[in-house]
Amino acid sequence: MSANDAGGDPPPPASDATRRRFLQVATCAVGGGVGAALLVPVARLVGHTVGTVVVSAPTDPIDAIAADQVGAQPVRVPLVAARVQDAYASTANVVLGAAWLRRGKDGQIAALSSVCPHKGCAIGFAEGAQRFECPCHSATFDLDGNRLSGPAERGLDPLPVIIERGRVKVTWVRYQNGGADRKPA
Amino acid sequence: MRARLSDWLDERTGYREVLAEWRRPVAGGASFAHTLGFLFGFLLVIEALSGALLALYYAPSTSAAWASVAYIEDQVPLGAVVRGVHRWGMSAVVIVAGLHLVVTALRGGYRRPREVQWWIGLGLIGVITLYSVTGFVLRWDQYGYWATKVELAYVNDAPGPGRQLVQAVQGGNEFGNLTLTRFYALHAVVLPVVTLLLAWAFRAQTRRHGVQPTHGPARPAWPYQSLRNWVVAALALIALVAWSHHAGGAGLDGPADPTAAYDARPQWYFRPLFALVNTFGSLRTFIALGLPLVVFGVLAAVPLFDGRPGRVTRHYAVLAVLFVGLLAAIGVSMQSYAKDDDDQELQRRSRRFAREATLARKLAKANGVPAPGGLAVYTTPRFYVARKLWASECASCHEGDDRKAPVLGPGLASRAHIRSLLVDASAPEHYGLVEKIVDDENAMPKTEATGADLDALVELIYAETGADDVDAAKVEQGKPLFDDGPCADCHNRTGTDASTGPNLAGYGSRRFYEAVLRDSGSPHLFGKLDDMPAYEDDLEPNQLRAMADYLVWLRKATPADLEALKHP
Repeated sequence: MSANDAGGDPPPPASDATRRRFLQVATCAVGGGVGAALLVPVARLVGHTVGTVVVSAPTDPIDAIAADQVGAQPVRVPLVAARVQDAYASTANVVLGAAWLRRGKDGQIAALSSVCPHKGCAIGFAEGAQRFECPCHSATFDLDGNRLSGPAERGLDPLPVIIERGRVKVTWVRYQNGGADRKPA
Repeated sequence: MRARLSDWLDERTGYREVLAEWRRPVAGGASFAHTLGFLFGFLLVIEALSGALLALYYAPSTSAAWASVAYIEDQVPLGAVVRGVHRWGMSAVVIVAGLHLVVTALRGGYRRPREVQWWIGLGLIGVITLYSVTGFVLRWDQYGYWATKVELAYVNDAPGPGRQLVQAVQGGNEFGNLTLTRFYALHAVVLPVVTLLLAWAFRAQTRRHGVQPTHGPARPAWPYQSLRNWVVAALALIALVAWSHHAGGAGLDGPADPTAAYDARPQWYFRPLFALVNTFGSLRTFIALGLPLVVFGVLAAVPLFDGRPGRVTRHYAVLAVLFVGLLAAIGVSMQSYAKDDDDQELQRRSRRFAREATLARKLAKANGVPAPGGLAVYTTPRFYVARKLWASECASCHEGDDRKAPVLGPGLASRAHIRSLLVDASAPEHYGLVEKIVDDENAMPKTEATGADLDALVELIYAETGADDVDAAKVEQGKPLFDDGPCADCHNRTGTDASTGPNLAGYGSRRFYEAVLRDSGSPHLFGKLDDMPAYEDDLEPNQLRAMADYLVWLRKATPADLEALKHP
């Protein structure tokens, strides 16, 4: 590369061509081997989170509200997990999400997930229209969670409810966004 | 088609000219001696790659830093390998850079016109040593915390703006969240950019001046030098992984504990400074901060002193200074390491810290780290609060040969325990060591009940614990035996009425234990027979509850369960 040294030497003889070719292949092989070896940790560390439960979600029913506080008008209740394991951290009292609770005509309390089945925004309740509305893409649902209009492909996702000693307990389930069928996320 | 495409690309990028560079013959030819520059760059790429992978998981905050590093080390697949390569890779970079400096000095490669390149190289070495200063604190473990604390303390003592500099770098008056974000920014953004700029400038100088000629025929870099470069890189990578494995990876101590008497030690390439600082105590600030400047100053002055070829004496003088300095550095370092090895107290402390680290990491893996951060991991074992209270408040009287009160151990308030109390409450494992009770006229006499009657009495009292395996029929049998027998002379078994002996309502339940802990001298408990402190004002409600829960747990616990609790 140095200007004062480079020019003087004769070009390599023709017999060198084979050797040259061999060295080129060998260089690519060694370099490729090193590159391939480096891809292993990249794949493992990047891919570790694929299909791994990094954030734990409790499957037990969560105490939400006193049963006598739930009437015909939907109430929004946050569901708070006693403990969540999030990768390396173990955290107490973590809000997982919210449920809309309502007592139906039959007197039974039902819970609807506040997660919109379309793109996952949090559903609000329009008191005037007496329907659930998604603030993001204007999907609307009736009081029982059935789809009325908008882009959602299914109604609001129901959550399992049990009543114990006068308290409403709701099990938090997160479903995959989109689709007419409910699949747990 | 392919030709047209490459023409199109070359017209816009000029890539052929770049490739042609590799095919142009290089004076001196290919040599393993010329692989150091490539190796340096290769290792920096390894550092950048492993650093990026670690950044996928690392969280720079005092509450999450140690936890996230422990997660990488113990739970992420290959995480420990990547950490090991990242840590020791920087040591390899320092070695390669040092080797390059020595080789260059041997050839007089700093002479005209390469002075500026020499200085750029020195700058690179200076920058790469800063990675360890900024990197180790990120772990927020004992090692990183204390090593960095001491390093910053020296800067703090520097004349002039030392204090201001420290507060700027550590982000405030104390080690905290901003220390981590600032060191992280320096370590992962600022230093890499500076390194890249210096490396680029160094490489540009190499292109201008050429490599140091050796005595081979001129050859193009591709493939002659390239093959050597990659062979050396591959070997270096293998050696790096092997060494890291041998050295136990990057290592991770227990979470940083500001109260721990930890023996702070720097990275090996700062060991000479550490040794000298400790040898010449009165000069410590000057040595710690001034000596590196002197060394770099001398090295920077080398091309000015020996600037033209042919002056052999000057070259020898340079080499003599360099090698004497190097040997002295190695010598004082080895002496310092040997001193640590011979220090039995230090070895004992370091074994203790290693045990702590093992425990902390085991707990972090099993239970996660609570929100307050690394140190809180020690609070995650079962009954941690109760066991801690037990050790500080209860054990001296209720455990061991020097105790003064009943043994409170596995099987407490179990059927066997209650039976043994009825049979002889003044036995040493019960109230035998409590003089206030055994010397009193009201000390509990041995029961005269035997066989089915004793069984029924035991079951009656056992039922008070709230256990789920109570034999209701036996309890019914026991009631008249209790109420109409001698027990009722001193004991009630319902309500909270006072009596000579403790009211046995809820005996062995959480409520009962909480009441005893609050004030065992209450009239319905031990009354005037009481000889235990009241904890009503000393313990928080959650502590009382934790302690009572633990005592309830003891009922079903075996000695093995208790051992397992002590050693999670």
